[in-house]
Amino acid sequence: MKKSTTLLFILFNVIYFFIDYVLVTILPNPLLFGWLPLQLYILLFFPVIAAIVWGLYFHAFFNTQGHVK
Amino acid sequence: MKPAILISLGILAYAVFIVWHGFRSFKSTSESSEKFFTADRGLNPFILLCTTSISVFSALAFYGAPAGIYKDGIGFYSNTGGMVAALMFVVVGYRLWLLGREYGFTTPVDYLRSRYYSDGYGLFVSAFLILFIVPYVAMQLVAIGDAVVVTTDGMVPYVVAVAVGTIVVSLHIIGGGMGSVAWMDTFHMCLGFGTLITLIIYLTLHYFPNGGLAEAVQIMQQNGTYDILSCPGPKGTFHWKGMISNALTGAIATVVWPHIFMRTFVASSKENFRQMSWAMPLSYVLVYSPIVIIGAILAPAILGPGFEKPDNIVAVLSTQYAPPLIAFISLLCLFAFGVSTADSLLLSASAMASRDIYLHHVYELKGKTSDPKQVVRFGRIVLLVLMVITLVIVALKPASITDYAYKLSSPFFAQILPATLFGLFWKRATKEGAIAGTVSGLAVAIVLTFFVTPPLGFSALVWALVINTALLVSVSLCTKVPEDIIAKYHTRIDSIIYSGAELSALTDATLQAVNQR
Repeated sequence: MKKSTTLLFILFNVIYFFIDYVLVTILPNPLLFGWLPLQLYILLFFPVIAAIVWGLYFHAFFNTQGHVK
Repeated sequence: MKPAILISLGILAYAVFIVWHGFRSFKSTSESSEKFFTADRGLNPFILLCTTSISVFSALAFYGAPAGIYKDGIGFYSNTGGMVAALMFVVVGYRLWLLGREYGFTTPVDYLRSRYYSDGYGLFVSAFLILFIVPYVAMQLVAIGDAVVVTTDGMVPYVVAVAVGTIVVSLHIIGGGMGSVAWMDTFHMCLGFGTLITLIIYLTLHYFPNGGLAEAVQIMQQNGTYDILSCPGPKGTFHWKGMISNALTGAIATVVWPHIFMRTFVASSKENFRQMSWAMPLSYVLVYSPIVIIGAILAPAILGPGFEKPDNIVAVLSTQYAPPLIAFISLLCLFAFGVSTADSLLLSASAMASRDIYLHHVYELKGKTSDPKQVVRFGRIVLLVLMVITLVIVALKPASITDYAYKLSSPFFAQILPATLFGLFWKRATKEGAIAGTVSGLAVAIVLTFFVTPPLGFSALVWALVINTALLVSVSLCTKVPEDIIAKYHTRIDSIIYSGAELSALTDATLQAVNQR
């Protein structure tokens, strides 16, 4: 794995968890689609973005582990 | 026939099915402890995903999370910690899996005892983990017992319900060990998800036919429960410090809960971890979203503010606000969540008692050879003993499900997190540091949970982990790790992970250079 890729991955996680644990508590909370408050939207659906990024990163990482049977 | 009788018959059929499933493989699992406790390290990615995820989602998730959200707002959802458990499972789990493969580890204690070259530390950790598994398992059964009483209209008494629940869970594990538990967890995962969706669809269509969830939220704006849909929530609990504390309790330390830790050893290949990196967070989202919608929108809109027994909102919604079929489906969902956590935890307690205490101290340390069948037999006896102890605890029936389990069990399981992480990623972590950190962490957790209010708005667990980590690092810096430990746990594992990667990079660079020429 390139160092820059790993650093970007770490940066993504720092930002993601900062939003999920800290920033979400002070964000405004308008209703989306008439029923879903923004804060709840972030808590429920940002993890989907995280799942995609984690999946891509670890897919690349395990491609480097071909020698591990 | 009365609905209560039909529901009771349904529960009986479910109980018989679980026990039958366990005892199908009784004979083959009696042959070796490797098969009984690790399913021969052969779980495929889908089974591992289901058994890991559903083992985290306990009865507390199904009953406790909607109740917690109803009481304290959507911030309670931080107990999933942004699905950090999935990230931890891959980052920590892959190394643990490699270690398990290299050195035959089965339990958390196997790893901690060897990495910190201390039989005393291993014994201490296995004792406190086993001790605090019991109340956590008991809570699953209390939740099931309460729900059975409500759903069957009192026809099945509480004591009978918890007794049947405890015996069924125990017999299921005694019969089939890890393989049986994992397959049944997969069934429970599908069952749990399906029943949650059914419950949500029924409640939404029946009570809010003119606008669905939008109508429900409008009702919340009028009935004074709208604060539930924001942070920090109605009681101001979930400001950022509350979020971090809750995430630490419910999510960050999940990977070192004994039954989840053990699942890092049972993967069939590295492919399991590749799949888990995206599938595990998605499975959390799929299962938790309906749970959150029940607690944050449906319950407040249907029940209104100030519901007297918030721990019972799911039971009340499914029995008093839905037909018997939905009540039964909801009960099955609770079974799915409760049984899957209880059986996994009991199996891990049995593994630690039989392998880390009995096998290691009675045979290995004395240089004796053990009979694999005898180890399995001992593990099964331990399960029977744990079954009796659990029955006694569920008879005492503590008041609040979530508070009790979180207060006693989760913070204690979490105290092996620093030793696990530093043992994997920091060469200088020593036995003395691990002992100082773990013991002080437990002491701080006890003091701040029961005797002194934790300072600065953080939970007892946060402080316990800070002190634990600080002592582990500072004591380790003053002491020395044996060279063979570094070679075995760092040099060897790093060489497995990185040497192949370096070789691949070198090959790629060479091929690129050749192509350019």
